[in-house]
Amino acid sequence: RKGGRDGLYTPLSDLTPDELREFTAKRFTLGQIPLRPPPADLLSV
Amino acid sequence: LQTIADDSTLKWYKELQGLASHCAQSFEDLNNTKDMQTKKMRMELQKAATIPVSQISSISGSQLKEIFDKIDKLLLGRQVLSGGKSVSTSQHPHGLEFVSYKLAEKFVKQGEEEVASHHEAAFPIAVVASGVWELHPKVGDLILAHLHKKCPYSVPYYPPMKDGTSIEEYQQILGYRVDESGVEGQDSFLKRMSGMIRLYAAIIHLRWPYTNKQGLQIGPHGLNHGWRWLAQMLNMEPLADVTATLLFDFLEVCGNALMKQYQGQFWKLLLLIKEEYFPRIEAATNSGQMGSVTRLEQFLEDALRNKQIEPPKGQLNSAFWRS
Repeated sequence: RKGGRDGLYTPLSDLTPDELREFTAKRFTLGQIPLRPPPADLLSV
Repeated sequence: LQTIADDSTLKWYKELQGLASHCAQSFEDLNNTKDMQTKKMRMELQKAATIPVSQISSISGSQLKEIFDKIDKLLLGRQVLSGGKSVSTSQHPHGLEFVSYKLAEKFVKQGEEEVASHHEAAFPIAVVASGVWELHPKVGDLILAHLHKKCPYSVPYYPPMKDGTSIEEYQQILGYRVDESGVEGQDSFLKRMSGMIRLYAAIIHLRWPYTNKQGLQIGPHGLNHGWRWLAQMLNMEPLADVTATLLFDFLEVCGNALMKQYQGQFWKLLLLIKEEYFPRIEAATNSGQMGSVTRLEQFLEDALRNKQIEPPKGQLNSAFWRS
């Protein structure tokens, strides 16, 4: 269970550009919510 | 919005279905046996696997621990006492597969029947399931496979209608019960789906308190799956009735846990539901089926107004574990 795949959070460095955009934006885009959980560093937006 | 789930979700779903049918094939000889002794042993193994699960209740923590230990012992191949007789999976080469399969099936059945009628029953059942899953991951995979099959929305997966499938067959694939008298009514169907999704929502945020492996901060099927489930649901076009009902059931059970875990990102999800997804649910629903839609709307409004989601009713507290 090492790494991000089964973790509670996705490591920031693992995010795709699309996922990063969704997690750093004020709002999610309908239909584009990342299936992987957010990174621990981006919990407050 | 998509009409089908992401490839990664479908791949996972298919893998688990394959694993379950492989497991079922392995004990086919046990199922089809004509030998009376073997038949008897099969019955006893089945009872040893399912009776403890049906005895799960919220009477006391110590009673729950006894039930857990009994299931654990059975899965470890040790002798357990069942109905006055001593049984063990080592009595048959595929005894362990058989017991694992029946046990997983029974957990899901308790969700479908018990939790469907008594929502609070989700917690003691889920905490035992989560502990068994942690020590015996194969049983966990089988729980998922049974759950997905009986309630495809738990994947979440909306099975497409294929050419050549009859309406009745298709309704069965969607999770409806079909028998001689026809297809079950919508109320009964929704109630069963609610029970199963509530059990799932409880499993992902509960952890058996006595098996804490060092350094492991997450249960065998943790809250990251709660995030995945919600995100996957919201990326798909809503279905009348089912979507509103299941979103509400799910959030009522594990919304509090998700809120604590994912904070601002979780509130972004709720805001998206309220402002963009909810109107689509309303549009997809007939005016006669608005009950679940109204419940979901009320829940979202309260949560966003108070910036708070209450812990679910019936959650097991520390006094329970001392009892």
